[in-house]
Amino acid sequence: MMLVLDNHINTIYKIHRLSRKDINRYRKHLSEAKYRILVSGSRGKSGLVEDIYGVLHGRELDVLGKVTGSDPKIFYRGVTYYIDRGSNPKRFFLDYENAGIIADFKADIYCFENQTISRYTNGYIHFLFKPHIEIIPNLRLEHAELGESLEEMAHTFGATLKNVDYAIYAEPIPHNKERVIPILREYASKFGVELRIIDIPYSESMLPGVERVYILQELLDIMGLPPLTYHEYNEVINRVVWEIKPRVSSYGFYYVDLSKVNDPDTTSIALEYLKKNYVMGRPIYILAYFRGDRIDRTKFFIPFFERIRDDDSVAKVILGGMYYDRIKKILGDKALEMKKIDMELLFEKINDEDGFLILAVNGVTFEMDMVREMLSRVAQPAV
Amino acid sequence: MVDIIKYSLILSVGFILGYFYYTYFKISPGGVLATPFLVLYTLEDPSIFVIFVLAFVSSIFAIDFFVRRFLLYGRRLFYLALLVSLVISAVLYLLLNPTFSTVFFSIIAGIIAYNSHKELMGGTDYIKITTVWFSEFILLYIFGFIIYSIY
Repeated sequence: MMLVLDNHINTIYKIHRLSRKDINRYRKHLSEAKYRILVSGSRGKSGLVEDIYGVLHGRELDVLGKVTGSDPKIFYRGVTYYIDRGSNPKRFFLDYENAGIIADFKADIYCFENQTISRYTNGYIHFLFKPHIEIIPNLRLEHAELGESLEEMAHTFGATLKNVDYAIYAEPIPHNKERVIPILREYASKFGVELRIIDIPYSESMLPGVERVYILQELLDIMGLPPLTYHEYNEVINRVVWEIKPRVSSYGFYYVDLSKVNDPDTTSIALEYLKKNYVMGRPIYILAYFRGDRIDRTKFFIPFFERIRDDDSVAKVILGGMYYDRIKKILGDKALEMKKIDMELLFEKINDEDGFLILAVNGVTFEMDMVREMLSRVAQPAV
Repeated sequence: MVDIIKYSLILSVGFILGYFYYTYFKISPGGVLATPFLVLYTLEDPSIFVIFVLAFVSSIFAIDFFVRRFLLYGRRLFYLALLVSLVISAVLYLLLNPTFSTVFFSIIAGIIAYNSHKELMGGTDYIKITTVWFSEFILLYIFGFIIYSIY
């Protein structure tokens, strides 16, 4: 089996405007594809697309995988293409990027990550991609434009199942699942979609991302392919574990970067998993950065910080960005303000205390890039 | 002075009604401003509602055509809807010659057509979009009619 990690040839794919010929080729390639798989929902979409590509490509099927976000990529016939959105990322359009890729790369199976952040763009992606199979690994409160509650989010994703043949839902958190399933079922029965709900065994549900294995099994079943081999299973599990594994910082202490996990539920699961498997009684420091343009996200995190206040294993929470007084007030003595402290001294202190650092909330910011750079740089010898 | 009061009253009730409609139905085909203003203009001259309907239908067809043929979406489509609405309304103004005219009216059909398209893309069906929008319009129109009768 050849996973994407085995790829050594990397190249750039530049987003371009769509000509009439491009649109015709996009239509042709889309209609000739045997399967169009759309990975929607909240957490773990990119990893799942890579897993699906890895397994299907390893079985010598003609598959194209596309992941989005801050590091968009295409996986096609063993080559990883890094997507170049041009000098101004705001100028990329969903149509140029997605229809353009389908026009330029012919494949029997397309597996795309749903890059939507609003009800409208979610509908547009469905119009553009026309998925046969939609996978919703989970739904978490993240973008208020997709819904301000789990129920609203379920309506957003349920309403666009209209032309889908199969939908897979694999939420590992029981109370989220109970709220979402009835809504998805309602839409599935209305549109005649075969909805497959995956039950993650409780013993495994503490590993963030483990649902990817079960989703793959279900997907292979829908496609009429043999189940995961022992080797494929191990490859996927190893990747899931690797993604949450602590790294050693350049200061010497261990840290985990959860800053791209933008929802409180996943952050809580990951925190519990880390406490159980890696923290080993060390004092935990959480560095949380809040974006002024993401007040919805800040609001969603308030219950998380209320729990953190009462969690004795968390020593301090370092707050950065537009965190507002409310979160500072909730945390009380545990709160440190990033703008008032020297980060170098703080990291040295964490190291002296044999602490464990967790980066949380907003990963795609200049400040968090700086922090990541500080944590991962190679120590320079003193002059 | 009286005019300002009645316009403000109708607009205020329109905004409050719009907010409750959005909270309850979770869709807003009329947007925030378009429906209350359309009610105001229709109260001034009911015949311009015909212009609105024709401009709206034209905008909806234009949006549908450009989405299907050129995969357009978002802001580009919004501008297109405004342009179609403006041109069709202007032509109909010349043909029908209503007693009341204002430029802002000419783009209302485009705004509502684009918002309806967004709701449609989001998975809401035509019937729900039409029913929700029309009931909001009718309720506000009745309220406006009463206000106009009083003043």
